Amino acid sequence: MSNLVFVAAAMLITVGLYAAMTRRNLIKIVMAVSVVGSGVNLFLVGTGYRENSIAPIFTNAPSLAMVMPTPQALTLTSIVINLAIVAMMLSFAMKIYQHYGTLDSRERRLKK
Amino acid sequence: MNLLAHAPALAIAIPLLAAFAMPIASRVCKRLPKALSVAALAFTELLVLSLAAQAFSGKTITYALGAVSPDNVAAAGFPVRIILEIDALSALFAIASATIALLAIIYSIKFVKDGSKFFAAALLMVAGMLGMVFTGDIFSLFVFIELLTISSAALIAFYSGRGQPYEAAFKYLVVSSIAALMILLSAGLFYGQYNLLNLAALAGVLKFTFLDKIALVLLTAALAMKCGAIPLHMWVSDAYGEAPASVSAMLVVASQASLYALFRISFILFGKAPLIETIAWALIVFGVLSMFVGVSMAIMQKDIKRLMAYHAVSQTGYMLLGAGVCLAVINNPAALTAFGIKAIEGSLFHVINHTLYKSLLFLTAGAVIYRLGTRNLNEMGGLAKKMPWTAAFFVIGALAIAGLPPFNGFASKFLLYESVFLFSPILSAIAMLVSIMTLASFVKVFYAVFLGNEVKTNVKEVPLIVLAPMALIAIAIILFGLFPEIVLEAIVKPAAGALLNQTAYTGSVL
Amino acid sequence: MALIESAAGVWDPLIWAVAVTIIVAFVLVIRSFGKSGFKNRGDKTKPFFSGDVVPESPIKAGNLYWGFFESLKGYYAFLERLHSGLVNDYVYLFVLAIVVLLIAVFAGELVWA
Repeated sequence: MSNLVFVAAAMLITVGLYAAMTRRNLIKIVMAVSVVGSGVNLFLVGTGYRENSIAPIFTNAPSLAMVMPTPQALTLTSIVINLAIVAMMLSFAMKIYQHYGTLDSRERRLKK
Repeated sequence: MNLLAHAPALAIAIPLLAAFAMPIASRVCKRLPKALSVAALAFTELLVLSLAAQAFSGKTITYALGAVSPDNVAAAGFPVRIILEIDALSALFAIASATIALLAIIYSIKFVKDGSKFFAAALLMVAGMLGMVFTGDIFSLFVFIELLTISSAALIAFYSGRGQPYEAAFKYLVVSSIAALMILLSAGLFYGQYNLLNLAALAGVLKFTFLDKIALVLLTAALAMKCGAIPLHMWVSDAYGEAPASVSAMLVVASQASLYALFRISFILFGKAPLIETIAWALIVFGVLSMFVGVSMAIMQKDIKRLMAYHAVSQTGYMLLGAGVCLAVINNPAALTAFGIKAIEGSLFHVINHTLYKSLLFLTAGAVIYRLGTRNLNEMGGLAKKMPWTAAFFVIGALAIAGLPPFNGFASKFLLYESVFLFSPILSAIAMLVSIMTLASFVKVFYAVFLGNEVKTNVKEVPLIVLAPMALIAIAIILFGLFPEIVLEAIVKPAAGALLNQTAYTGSVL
Repeated sequence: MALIESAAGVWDPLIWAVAVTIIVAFVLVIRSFGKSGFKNRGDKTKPFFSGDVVPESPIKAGNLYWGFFESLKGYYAFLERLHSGLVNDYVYLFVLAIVVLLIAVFAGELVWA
């Protein structure tokens, strides 16, 4: 049961990669990257989880069984970075739509 | 406060602070952003040089971020903080990044109208590159790669007005962010098993479990993608080709920073692994494919920047080949002394030479595009008389990339050819064939751009501030070609030694 | 001495420079034997096109190495299919590389062991 979180993370990553490979809409590709990011974040948080433990705040802590704080710090950083990446990709998708009038990834000018 | 003691942190912090000071600076005075960014980069360059001087003398500099004292690296017996670690190998790549970035920024002063945004992104890029080569742990590597990715995507799409740069930046961002997420995933895989993120500490405890192997594969693939090895190179031709010329030059050194991470991880983490041969052969295959497919794509291009972008892929292949050959014989002392060390020396020397001639070529291409207003080779011609200096610098860069003596490209390719020949004659023959095809494609460019009929009559030479960075790089190319042994002894041999001597890297942390 | 030693040989740019100087000197000596009255004009300077009509328009960059591309048509057709420019294909190749590397690592374990 404790491995459920890793299975879920692996599924999210797989779904995201599959969508990035097969979807032709640029917005959907951005969503795919975001899903991969969520999967990786879930995995990171999962590595630090301990059953029956509390948040790692020492002030007035009822017990010393705490979850690992480092993965949470890593996840927080990575969420912020992913947000920036997704925002930037969406703005590029918007600009591409302004110039080409389409969001289809098959409508591309750069090849060969 | 002793400035030099904090140089590792300052070298990253100064470009970062200067980048965020840009919007304020542009309010104060229109020209201040340009002056501020050149000053910040010049200061960073001095810091990097002072660090490099220590590193090349054989010292490994460690710096614990956030500790009471920066040398309080492993207070609890193992590294708990973010640690910057600079040895001769990091110093080699850091010098390349800082120098080319400074020259590219000086070059772009003339072209950029509204400076603050451009220079802010360029300074963030420098911070990302230096962070990547200085950092000692795998999570900071991810953070700096993402910093580099976001800032370079902004710069690739900087020239608005056409759709292509946005398309290139979008593609670059998609593949780079997926690659970076794979690096983060492997960081999580390591942390989940060993509670460690520090590379040096990880190297000591790695047990090569099933999960470790997955993590190492993800790292290799992601970093190979970031340094543009075929078949993961697709973004390179789009991004380098569509970016402004000075940004293309900076992207070349940015991909070298990823190459640093690839070398560091494959030597320090795989070093004693049972799967070393597999990874070595993976690097060799990546290298040979990059060399050959890269140059055969380059020779058919009609866009001058895109042609040079494919050459960047092709030249990266040489470095991967040298590293792969060295890694393949790393557990065989006789072969290592016979040709393995020479192969990695040739590979690292090629990194320096590649950053020099490739950035020179991109800068000359930028000058030509600036004057002619087109990037199509079929629409150019007759510039040799109008732009004699640009033509001369182009010839120097072209002969250097083709590996003709006495330019610097020959010296490193010579080391690679002969050491790879002892490993496998076929690989060496392919490397030579690729050099010939490189020369052929640059003959095509020289013919199309500088010879033949004049397409435009009122063309002038580019201004002095654009020529000066090109001249400096051209002089460096000639000097490095005429006196290769000085560079080899002073920079390359310590760097190769640092890469091979894993205990020095791990021991300075633990 | 500007000497670098590789695994199998040595390279000295200064010796090379001396050699080139001597060769250039020889070339200049041989050139001085030539007739001073030679004029570079007339039919003898025209390119020889085996009786075909000489093309009037200037030769563009795209015309160069025509034979090379013609003989490697199949290879270049494959490369153009590979470089489709589709962002989906970029991700696909990345995933493919990961899968191939994973197979290589786990198969390599059996081979090298």
